Amino acid sequence: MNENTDQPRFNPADQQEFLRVFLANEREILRYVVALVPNLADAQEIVQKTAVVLLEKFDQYDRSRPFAPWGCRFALNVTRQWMARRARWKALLESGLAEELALRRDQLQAEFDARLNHLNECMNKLPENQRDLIDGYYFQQSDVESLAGQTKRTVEAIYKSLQRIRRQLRDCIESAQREEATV
Amino acid sequence: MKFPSIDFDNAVAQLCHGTVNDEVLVRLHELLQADPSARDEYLWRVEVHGKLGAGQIDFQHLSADEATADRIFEGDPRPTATALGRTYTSLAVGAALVIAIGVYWNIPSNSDDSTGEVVAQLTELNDIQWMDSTEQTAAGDSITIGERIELASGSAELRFSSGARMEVFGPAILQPLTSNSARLLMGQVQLFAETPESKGFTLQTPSTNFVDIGTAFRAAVAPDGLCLLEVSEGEVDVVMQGTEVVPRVRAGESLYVEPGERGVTTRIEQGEGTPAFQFPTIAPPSSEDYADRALANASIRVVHGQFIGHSADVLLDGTGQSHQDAPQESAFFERRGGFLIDLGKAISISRINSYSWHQHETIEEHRNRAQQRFTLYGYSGDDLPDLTLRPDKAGWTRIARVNSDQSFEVQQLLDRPAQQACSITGSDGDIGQFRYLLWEIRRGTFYGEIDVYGTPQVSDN
Repeated sequence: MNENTDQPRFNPADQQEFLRVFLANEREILRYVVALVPNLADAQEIVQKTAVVLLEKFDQYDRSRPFAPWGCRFALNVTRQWMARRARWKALLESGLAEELALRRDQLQAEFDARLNHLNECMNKLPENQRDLIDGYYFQQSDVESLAGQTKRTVEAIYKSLQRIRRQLRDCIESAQREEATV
Repeated sequence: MKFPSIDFDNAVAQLCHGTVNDEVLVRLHELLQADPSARDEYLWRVEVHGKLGAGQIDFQHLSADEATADRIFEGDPRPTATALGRTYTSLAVGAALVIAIGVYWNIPSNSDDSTGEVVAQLTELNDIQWMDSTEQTAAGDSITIGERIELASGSAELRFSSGARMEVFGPAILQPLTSNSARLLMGQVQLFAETPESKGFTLQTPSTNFVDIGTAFRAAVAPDGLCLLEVSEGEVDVVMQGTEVVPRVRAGESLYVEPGERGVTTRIEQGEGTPAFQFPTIAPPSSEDYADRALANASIRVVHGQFIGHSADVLLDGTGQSHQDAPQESAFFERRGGFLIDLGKAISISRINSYSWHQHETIEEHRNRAQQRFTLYGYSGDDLPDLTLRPDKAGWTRIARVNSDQSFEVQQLLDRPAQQACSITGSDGDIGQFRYLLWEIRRGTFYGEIDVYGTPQVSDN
């Protein structure tokens, strides 16, 4: 159990503002972390730790500037710490690749955002069973074993389907973007 | 590893899924280090994966908030072993913030000079993971005022000194306040107040106090403050800040309380299953509401989704369906969709009721189109927002989230009532002033009627 001092560590108005701003930007910070650590469970753990750091630093946040880039800076630090504690990820950190990926993603972000404007329409073109799988895996956060059980398929087949659906979505997005460019 | 290659494709996919082995990871990183084209392609692929993972796309307007609330409000609060591996982002972050902030919603504390007094005892722990991994608490330990119970997963049972028994289901944060009260900051609890001393047990949540008058209820609080109360035995009073109106929820009934100053509550009830649409407390469909077709104040239209029903106008005709399986008298979508009601001008809305009915003629368990599941938004301006954008991005105010299967704890098909009514009200009788109402519908429910009660602004009279 944890002692409750009954003295809030943060001003209630700041708490409210932080929650509002953070929750509005949380998904963007998660996407940033996923570029470095693509497994969602790992990325979510990092975002969770980042949230606490951001709350502690919130008094340093310049309200006149966008929150997400400020938050992503701290997310990168938390990601570095996370990698440093895991042998298989240390090399990414020590080789400088993590920094390079973060930098390159910044450069490509506008391009990616433009492409992703087509994601919704491409999602709607998927057959219902594929949309259901995306819904289950990404939105409902069902584990792969459950999805396999529900559809009477193997876990490996579910992973392959997810890989295939993402490829279809990328192809569709790129095609839509090409069409847009020719109009 | 080369790029492009099947090995590259598989390595990136495995990395996304968390199934990549060390050897493949090293080779992929070497490739990314050496080949800028591979790096750009890798970033694009994980961007799509990350966007999906962040739930940020407008997939029929399923918002992360709704999904988070779903996880908290699941009918069966006991998590499965396999489900524990993946935690919804907002849920986990919400829990982390609740702990970091200390007292999330700044609810006045009851603890004073009685700090240290034992008010409850932990009687049982099941598959417990504490949020603090160094936590050493065990079954049998006493709990004093000023302690918080922070469960990451699993469940714990407490016995308060009053005799009240409470089960707490992780993730949850609970703070016992006295021998007969507690504060639920997040998560789900089940309370059994079966002793005379435990009558009047009070559970504080971010927006309400639930005061037990009978014997058993379930309460849940999502990270954003949405509360659910379900009474299984007896009665519970719902005391909200800033209003003297105290809704009483009886056995078999449930109530959602949205966060926010208006204290918007949602009541969902089961009907008798007749064309009279009789419900315990919710009035039957009416032809006297502001939006009724006969008054010509309002219009309704479908704004997206595959609409199959005869016409959305049936929702404003003052009656529900005439029989239990009447697609011609229902407005419904194949799966998901949106209805928009234009009230002609902004009015002060006091209540919004919706009714559904579906029971297959011969197959008893076939009630697939009875569930009410939607998010309701309002907009007060005259210029309709861009309907291609997510409502929360386009300036709409979210009024309420409704999922009747959660409310009825539907585990099997027969658990779902065939006839249902949902009534949304403000704690002081005012939901807000809106001209447009947008229903973002999930599920292909047979809706028979929507009634909007309200009055024009005084200056319009």
